[in-house]
Order: sequence, then structure tokens, then C-alpha cells
Amino acid sequence: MSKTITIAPVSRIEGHAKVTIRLDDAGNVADTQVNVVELRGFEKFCVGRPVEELPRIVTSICGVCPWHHHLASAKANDAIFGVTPPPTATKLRDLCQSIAFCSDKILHFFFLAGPDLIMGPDADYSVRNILGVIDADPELGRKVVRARHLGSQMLGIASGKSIHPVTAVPGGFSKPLTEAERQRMLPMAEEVLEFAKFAIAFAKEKLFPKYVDEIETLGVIETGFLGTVADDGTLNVYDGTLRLMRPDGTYEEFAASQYKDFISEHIEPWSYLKFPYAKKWGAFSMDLDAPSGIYRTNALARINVADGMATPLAQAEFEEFRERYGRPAQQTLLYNYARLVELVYNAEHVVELLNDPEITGTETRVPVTPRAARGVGCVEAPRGTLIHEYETDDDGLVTDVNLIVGTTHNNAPINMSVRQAATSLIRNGSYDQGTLNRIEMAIRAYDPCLSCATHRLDGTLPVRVDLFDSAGERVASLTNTP
Amino acid sequence: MTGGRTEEILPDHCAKDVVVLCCGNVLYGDDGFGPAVAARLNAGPIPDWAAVIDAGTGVRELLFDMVLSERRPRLVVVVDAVDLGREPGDVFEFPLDRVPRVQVCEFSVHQAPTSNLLQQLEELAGVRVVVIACQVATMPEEMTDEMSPAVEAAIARAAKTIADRFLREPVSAIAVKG
Repeated sequence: MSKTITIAPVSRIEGHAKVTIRLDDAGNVADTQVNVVELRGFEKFCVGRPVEELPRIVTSICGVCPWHHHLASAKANDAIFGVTPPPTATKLRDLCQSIAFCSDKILHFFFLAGPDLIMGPDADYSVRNILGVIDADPELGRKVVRARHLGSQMLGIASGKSIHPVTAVPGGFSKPLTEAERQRMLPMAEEVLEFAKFAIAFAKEKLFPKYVDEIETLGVIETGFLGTVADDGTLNVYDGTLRLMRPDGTYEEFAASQYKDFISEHIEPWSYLKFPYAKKWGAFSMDLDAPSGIYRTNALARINVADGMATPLAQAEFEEFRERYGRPAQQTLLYNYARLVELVYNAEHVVELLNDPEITGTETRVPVTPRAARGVGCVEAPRGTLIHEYETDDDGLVTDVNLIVGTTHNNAPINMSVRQAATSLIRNGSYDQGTLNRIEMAIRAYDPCLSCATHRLDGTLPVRVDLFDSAGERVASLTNTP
Repeated sequence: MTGGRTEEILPDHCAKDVVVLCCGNVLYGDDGFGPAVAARLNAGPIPDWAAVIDAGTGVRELLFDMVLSERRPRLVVVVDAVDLGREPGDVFEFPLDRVPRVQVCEFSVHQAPTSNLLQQLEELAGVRVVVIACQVATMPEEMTDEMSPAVEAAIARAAKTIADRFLREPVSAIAVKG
């Protein structure tokens, strides 16, 4: 009798992710589906509002990535109003982007991926978390939280608010950085860089060698990649050209405003979320043996599409990564390694910007005038390429909004990685908690944004793993609901 | 080169003795209760040993820092909207020990279980945690900035309760229910 393994939401409104794994009569994986809920009602909410309100509104979309939505929205506003911010403003936005990137990378690696790698995927959940890690290495915890404190302080100094940013405005940045502020920030940035160097050395020496087999096998699929590069081909998280790379390493480049010429969205009847794909590569297919149109974003994608890194320490790490894993690297667990390379880059970039004389310039914005227009703003968010597209009427009121967030780009790859992991791990009906934890690892590598739409305190959370047989009987579960 | 002494770089959510963390998403109607309470409290005087923070949907990151930090608050008051089937607008203390510990299925920081973090904060880090909750009328499926009249009316009441209980005297003098 075939079985269905379902990772199910509690309810539609609470449930933000549903993963279903179906087994055939032999107990092998027949099908998998990962269903991620997207934001509902965002367009309707924004229509009719002054477009300059959106950089403030969008910070509430996601409590983990507010800065990136804020900056993408500000850039879309620049395009709508047809203005170019002064160089100092661009650099201040870039500065906040990189500081926020650093804090996010530290959070993800040590809070999520780290416990998998440090405690091991077979460890019980009660220790396979950051507190288990701290128990094992207290000094590591102190270093981690200090680096995050520094990031929070720097954002507060640069922008006046580290939570719910408001400082990026159409045409620039609302607040210049004084020389006194710059001098306060610089030693903080240098210390974060030291931590970044420590983090990647720690991971390369103590963690990654333990998972050589998993890296080569868990969730490995073949896809293209999407990321942003500067004019010289180096990775850039604030601005540049979008580079869409095929699995064979060839690529096309385009401006973010042209994204619809290269990216279409496929719809599956069982999915809340659409599946973006590269329309020029052929019809959409998530078949593991013959994928088509599928690309990934987020850290591994950015490392793959880039020709190099613009800062020296990150460039050295990049070269080591590329020499070992080639281009493009397809192993999903390498997202965790790529994140640390990006951490080094962003930490160096923050120091670089704080040493740039223009960072304390006083011209930080240009005036704007409402008009009817279409504008696209794009930045790299930690979870992938983030696109905000707006349209306005003659009064500058929003008439249309479209967002593609990082996790949406990765919707098909996440499905494929789950399929690959489940297929290789579940044979003849045999699975255990460690099996399901490893499937979790494959998803977690993507660090998907599973919608912070509402915040629940009562312990019910959006994801549950249930294993059902074809008669609907639950036979096992991996759940975070009581 | 260091970025300064630890106490100089501590964010408010670690540095203050009393931290009021107001949680919720202003784009989802009644879920915006917490941020609304934060705005109301911050419109008035806050003693220098306390902080009222609109944590929005990012409270997990703040709790993460708090759990790891060598310097932590003595008392954390969490303010949030909940749906427990009570009378809409009802403001009550939600016993943390009645929140079930749940297995972590953490695909993303977006999903870290706040309840677990709060319990770890209390059990392992010695921080007293009080949860002040407000029963919602509805939790909308789509974005809206309209709050129900019952919850809107509860904002001022909740702010006054929190100010009277937790922001008048330093934490050693605060009577906290066990």
C-alpha cells in the first residue's frame, strides 16, 4: 500500500509551508511537493497609496529582512520618480545593506545551519539548536552575539533606527553620516570583519570536513543560477546587472527592469506560490533527470554567477571555494559555505565604505515629483534576488505592485532538493527521525522565507511533518505543533 | 582593534533592566496590537532603566541576542495579539508555563519558535518573562491596516496596565506573578 508523508500546515492562515512526500507500494519516493504560502493581499493593500510610503510599509513584510525590502522599495521609487540619488546616498544605502547582510549571515549560520553542522543531524532537537551549540562552546556564543550587537549598533548609528528602517527615501537617504559617527562605526566594522574571518576559518576547519559525504549527496540538483554582478563581474548585493546562468555555466545579463523578458512564472494547481523559471531555456520542468528552466538564487547562486569578489579577503576565499567545487557548484549544502564567503565580503565592504571620504558627504537626496511611471528596484536579499516593481498614476499613487522575493525564485529548486533528498534517503519504506532531519537540512540550506505574516506566541507554528499511508492513517511525524 | 567595551555596544533589548517587547504585524489588522501599544507607550516618558521596543515580526532575532548576551534584562514583558477564543479586546496575562514546548522544525529564522525562546530565556538565562496578550476579533487572511474596534479600544488600556505595573519602579520593586 502506498504511503504519503505530509509536512503539513495546521491551517491555511497559520500554515506557511506544506511538504508532502508520497511513497509507492515498494516504499520508495514516488512524488514530493513543497508548498509555500505567499503574501496575500499585498497588492490590494498598496494600490491607491502614495508610492513614497512603500519603503516604510514594506519593512513590515518580513521581520528578518526589513532592510532589503526597504532598499529595494527605495530603488523602485527612484525609478518611478526618474531620479538618481547622490553618490553619498547610494553609498549610505549600500553601507546599511552590507551591515544588514552581515548580521543576517551570522544569524543564519549560527542559529540555523550551525546546529546541524555542529551537533549533527542525528542529534535530538533539544540540543540541535543554538543553546546546544553554546553549551558545547560558550566562547563561540559570546563572539556570535557580540558581532550581532556591533551590527545592530552600526545600523542604529547610520540610520537612526536598526529595527523598522525609514531612512532610505525616494531620491536618496534622509540622514547624512557625520565624521563622529563614522569614527564610532569604523572600529565596530573592523571587529565584525575579524569575526567573519574567524567564522569561515572555524567552519572550514571544524565543520565542513565532517560533512563531505552529505555535501556531495544531500539535496544535490542541477539548476541554473541568478545573481547580481557589478560592471567588472564581481558580486554586488546592492546594485548591478542581473546575471542568469545556465547549468552549463553560460549566461545572459540584463537590467532588473527587463526581468519579465527573461523570467516567467509557472503555476501548479497544488501550490500557493508561483514557480519563476527562465523562459528562454524551454518549458518549465522539475524532473530531476531532465530539469528545464530551473534556476536558484541566494548565496550559492551569487557565488556561482560572480567572476570574483571586489574585496581581497573575500576574493581569496572565493578562489579557494571555486578551485574545490568548480563553477557552477550544484551541491545544495554549499549554500552554508557560500554564506560565509559572502559574510567576509560584506564585512570588508563595510570597512571599505567607512573609509571612503564620500560616505560623510552632506548631499544625500534629490527632490522628486510625482508622475505616472513604472519602476523596478532590485537588490540581493540574503535569501535571493529581491525585485520590487511598482506602477503609479499622474499623482504618484500606486496602481500596481509586483514583488518577487528570494524564496519565490527558489520555489522549484526547493521542491527538487526535497525530492532528491527524500528519494535517496527513503528506500523500501525505511525512514527514521534522522532521515526527516536531513530532509529538513536540505530545505534549511535555502533559508526560505516562509512568511512572517503574523506572529503567534502560543506555540503553534506553520510547519508540520506527518507521514500518512494511502488510507489516510498517520504513521509518523516531524512536527512543531502540539 | 575592538569596537568598544561590551556595555557601550549593547542594544537596548540587552542593556535595559526592563524591556517591553511589542510584537505583531501592522499589515494584518488586529495583529498590529503590539506595535500600537509600543507607539502609545513611547509617546510618554520611559524611565532610563527600561525600553519599549516595537519588535514587529522580528522579535526572534532580539530574543536570540538576549539569550546569548552576557548582559540581559531582568524582566521582559512581551506584548502580543493572540487568538484563544476569549472576548475580543480582552487584555490578560498569558502564563508562559502554559505555552507548550514544541519540537523545532526550523526551516528558517522566520519560523523559530518564539515560545521556546522565551522559555529558554526564563529557564536557562534567568530572565523573568511576562506575556501580556490581547484577544483578537479576527486575524485577517489578507493584509489590512484596519483594526477591530474592540482591539483598538484595548490599546490604551493595555498601555496603562503595562506602564503602571512595569515602568513606574525599577525591577526589584516590581511584583511579578510567579
